[in-house]
Amino acid sequence: MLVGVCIKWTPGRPEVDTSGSVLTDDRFGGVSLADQAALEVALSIGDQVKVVCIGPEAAVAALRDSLAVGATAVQFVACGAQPSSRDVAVSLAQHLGGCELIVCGDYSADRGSGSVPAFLAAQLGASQALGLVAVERKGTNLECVRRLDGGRREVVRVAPSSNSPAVISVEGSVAKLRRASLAGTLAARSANIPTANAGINADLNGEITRYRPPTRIVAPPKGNQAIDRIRALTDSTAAKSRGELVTLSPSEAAERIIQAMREWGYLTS
Amino acid sequence: MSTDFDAIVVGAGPAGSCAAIVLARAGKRVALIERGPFAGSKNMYGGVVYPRILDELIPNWWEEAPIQRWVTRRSTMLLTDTQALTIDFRSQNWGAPPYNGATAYRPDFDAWLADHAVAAGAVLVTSTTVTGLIRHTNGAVTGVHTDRPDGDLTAPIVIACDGVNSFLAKEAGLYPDVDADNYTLGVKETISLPKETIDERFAVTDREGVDIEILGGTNGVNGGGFVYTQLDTVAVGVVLKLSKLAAQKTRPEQILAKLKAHPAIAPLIKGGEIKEYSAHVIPEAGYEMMPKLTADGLMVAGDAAAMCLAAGIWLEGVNFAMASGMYAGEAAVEAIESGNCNASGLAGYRKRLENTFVLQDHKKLRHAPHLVLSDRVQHLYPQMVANLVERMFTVDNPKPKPGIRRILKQERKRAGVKLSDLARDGWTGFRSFG
Repeated sequence: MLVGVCIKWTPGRPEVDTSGSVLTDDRFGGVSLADQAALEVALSIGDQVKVVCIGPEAAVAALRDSLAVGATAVQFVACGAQPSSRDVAVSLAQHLGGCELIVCGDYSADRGSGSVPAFLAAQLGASQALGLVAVERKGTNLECVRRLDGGRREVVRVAPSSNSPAVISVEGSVAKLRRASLAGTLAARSANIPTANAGINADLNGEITRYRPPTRIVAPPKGNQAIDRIRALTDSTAAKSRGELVTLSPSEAAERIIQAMREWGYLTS
Repeated sequence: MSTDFDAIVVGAGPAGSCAAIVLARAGKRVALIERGPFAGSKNMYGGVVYPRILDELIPNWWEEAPIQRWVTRRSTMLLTDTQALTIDFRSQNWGAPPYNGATAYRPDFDAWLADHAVAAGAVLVTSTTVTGLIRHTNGAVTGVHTDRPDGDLTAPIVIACDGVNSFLAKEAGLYPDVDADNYTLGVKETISLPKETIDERFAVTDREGVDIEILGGTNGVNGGGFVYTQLDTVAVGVVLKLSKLAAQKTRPEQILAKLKAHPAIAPLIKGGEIKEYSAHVIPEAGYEMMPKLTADGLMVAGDAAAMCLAAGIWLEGVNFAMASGMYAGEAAVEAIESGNCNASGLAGYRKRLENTFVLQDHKKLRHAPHLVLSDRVQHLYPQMVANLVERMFTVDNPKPKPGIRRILKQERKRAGVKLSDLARDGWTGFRSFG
């Protein structure tokens, strides 16, 4: 099985200087533990592993590290801009042809949105299982465990094939990346790294703002005693709401989720 | 016998990179193995680098070396709890080629040197720790084990530049018995300040820098302190004799905090933000603690060979490391070409060190480290001198000015300094520094 791996290299030791600029040091750069786990999962599952990385020139180091631990092919996609997740997915998809399974990390070292795997699955028309905490190969299929809210888990069976590829993303705890052999490390130093251009010149569209929970209008609490008002504010004595269980078609479910987000104040339009 | 390389250099610090540069330029296959993710990432030092030894390796090195500031002011400060006496020297000659001392960040400086080794053809392997020596049945070193899977590398010569307390030199049986009195612990804070503020506080401009060496200010622990300037940071640190530090049961960062709060130091770093705290053991005793420098198939250089010179007014290390690495590289080339990599074939290493400043300075100053760290020089003399100067400049009219000779006599007695000790220490100092 040819398994593709998508990794994101990020510069290290970010600091904000006195002028407010963010300073980074490429020498401390690397990939996230989740990306490392993705590579390890791919190496343990795949017969052949192709690693694709999109980013600045310094990211080539991450691909050399991938070759050192056993990746059979790598592809560097040069991109100086800060592209959107969708643009990244479009660019990555061009280099993942023939892969039956694509493994991504669930988050990058710079704590991005983690949305590239979903966009990638959409771009490839692949099935997806994201945010996995365990992956085990069972014959030609994968048995995966996915983290849900409230400490719950769901078991997802993934059946990748050349006709129907799958994209999975894993958390960092799924696997520890093997240590590269000395011979592999030496060979990777001088290995040829195929390079393509992402063709993305535009930075991330839209304004980047600090994450802030939405403001909600809360009515003054009722009660004569302070403790009553605190209870009223915190709902500590109220019956716990366990959410709403609905059974809907995918499109109806999506509409319902958007409606709920509007009600809770997360969406304003 | 076929080997992976002609030579393996362990440690990409100044010694290791200089050895690798020499070997690679001579056309030898050389591996430079570094445990950190890049050369210099694990390294720390207490101040100033004197790179003139690089004239031979990298002509006009000053045009490309990642120097922060060129030291044009050199101060020696004597501190008691409430007093400070400073001897300050400035030379603009040190601010122009070929320069003298410089401040630099080790991750930049060491990486720059390693880049030269790579450019010359050396194979730099990072994030790899050498865990031991491979030895022939006759005892000769023939390579190294590393912590990587299938991580053995073979070569007829290994140059151990793995820093102070070298595990490789120990494994080879080259180290004498370890004496804690021969070591100090250096701790340092790098404090961020705007360049303009540093320029103003230290009375320098452009790339001019200041190096302040301090006797005292270490909370009664034998050692010393230092302050030096980078472009937009100031480094403040203390060097503490290990045995005394252990006896006092004080944390080194507490001693450093006290130094930073001293009235003579606090204004220099006021308002700064701590960017980094680092610590390192220093082979303080120099010549007196040097290991045997060669064995069959093995040479030891840099801090691993205790090449640090801590002689009070001269505090140097990186230049000795670079020189010892360079000469180890030359001796290795000679041995490889002669086909004799045993200790006899590597004898050229020690000869080179003896014929140059490396061992000549160390030998001449071999008594200086223990003198400088002695209790009298550390505690009695500074207090005596500070009191002497304070009384000299105290105007307590209507009393007439006392004679300096009389003050000296009184202060010597008050400090409990015996004339015989003063004469003995003076003679030792004269023999070392004279």
